[in-house]
Amino acid sequence: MATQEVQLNETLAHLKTESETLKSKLEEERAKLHDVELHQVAEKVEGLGQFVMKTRRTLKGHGNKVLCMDWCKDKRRIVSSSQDGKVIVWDAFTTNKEHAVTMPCTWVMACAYAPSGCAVACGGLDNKCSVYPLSLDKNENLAAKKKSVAMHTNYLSACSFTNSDMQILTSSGDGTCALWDVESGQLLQSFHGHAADVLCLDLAPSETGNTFGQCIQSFETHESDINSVRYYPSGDAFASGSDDATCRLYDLRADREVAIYSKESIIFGVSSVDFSLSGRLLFGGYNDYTINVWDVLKGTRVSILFGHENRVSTLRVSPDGTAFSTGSWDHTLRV
Amino acid sequence: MSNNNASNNLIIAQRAVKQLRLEASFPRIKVSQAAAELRNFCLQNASKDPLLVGVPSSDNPFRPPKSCSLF
Repeated sequence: MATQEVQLNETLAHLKTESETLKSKLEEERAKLHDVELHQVAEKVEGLGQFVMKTRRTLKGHGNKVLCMDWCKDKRRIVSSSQDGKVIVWDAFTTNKEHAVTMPCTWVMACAYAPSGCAVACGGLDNKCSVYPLSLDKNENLAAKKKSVAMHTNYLSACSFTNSDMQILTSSGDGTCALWDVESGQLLQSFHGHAADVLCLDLAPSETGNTFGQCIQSFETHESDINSVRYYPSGDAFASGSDDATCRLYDLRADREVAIYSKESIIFGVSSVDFSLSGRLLFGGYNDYTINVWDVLKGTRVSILFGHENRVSTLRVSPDGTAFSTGSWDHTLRV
Repeated sequence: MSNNNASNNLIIAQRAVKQLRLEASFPRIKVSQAAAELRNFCLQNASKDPLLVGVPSSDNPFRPPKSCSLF
């Protein structure tokens, strides 16, 4: 028994040293490729002019903090979810509410529009993701048609449909992400690798089927919770926003962080990030009630937008890039 | 008991090493190349980006609603 233990301990120590050497080797490899900064490459690029972005629409109706929102592919409808348990579908052009569903739980932290525009998915403290088909008949009780799709062992933090209405990807406070079949409610795949709550997820723009479920890359440079991640439009990079008040851009092919977007005057965390259509602008919603717009290539701040009366909790650019919508703890959404 | 713990730790450590080996063998490109490609993507698509270029008021679906009077 004792010798077995000793043997195990030795192998453990051996593995530990190997993992240390591998880690430093990784650092070295990554550092070797770090020959230039993104903003240096972008020096010759024309600077962006002054931006005038105004709130065009204010969507009022939620009784409590707006936690999440998503655009429909038709570029005008928005689904939003809030702490009061309500999920509302709006027509952003007219500000009319088209559908409203009351969830049995409060803190609906995630909502997503199906690519077809015919259903919405939402979830939160109930640990589940439910899909509600949207019917044109105003008298129909949407809650009756609800389909429970995902089951996690902790709160649902984010959900997203894949290219079709049939599959949905969810991430949860239990540290895992999972891919589910909507029709049968079956778990198709689960993704492990995070050591703590998964707060946000995003699918690469051209994802046709991620079948491996294995962690291929990991990036660790943020100093605090990462609240939001969003793929760059080309799919080769992604941005993240964190409680450490910075947004960072990571390139997948260079396997490292390539830019940090921060200012000493910004001390509040970023709750949500999204790119403009071309990827030149990065919008960040902050806990100090503002939205900062960054020039992705040059690393400078282009504009700061005011308007919300409480922290900005969610931010998404519309599918055609003509506008972006923000949801906030002040119970409203702005387009 | 301690034997179990030790073998658990072993399994965890083995997984960690496996993961690191995988990550170490990942093919990487230089930042200069990656950055250049990002920049090119931005520039190529910049003209199509409404938030960058601005949309004429007549096309803007979110322009302030004009009031309609019907008599």
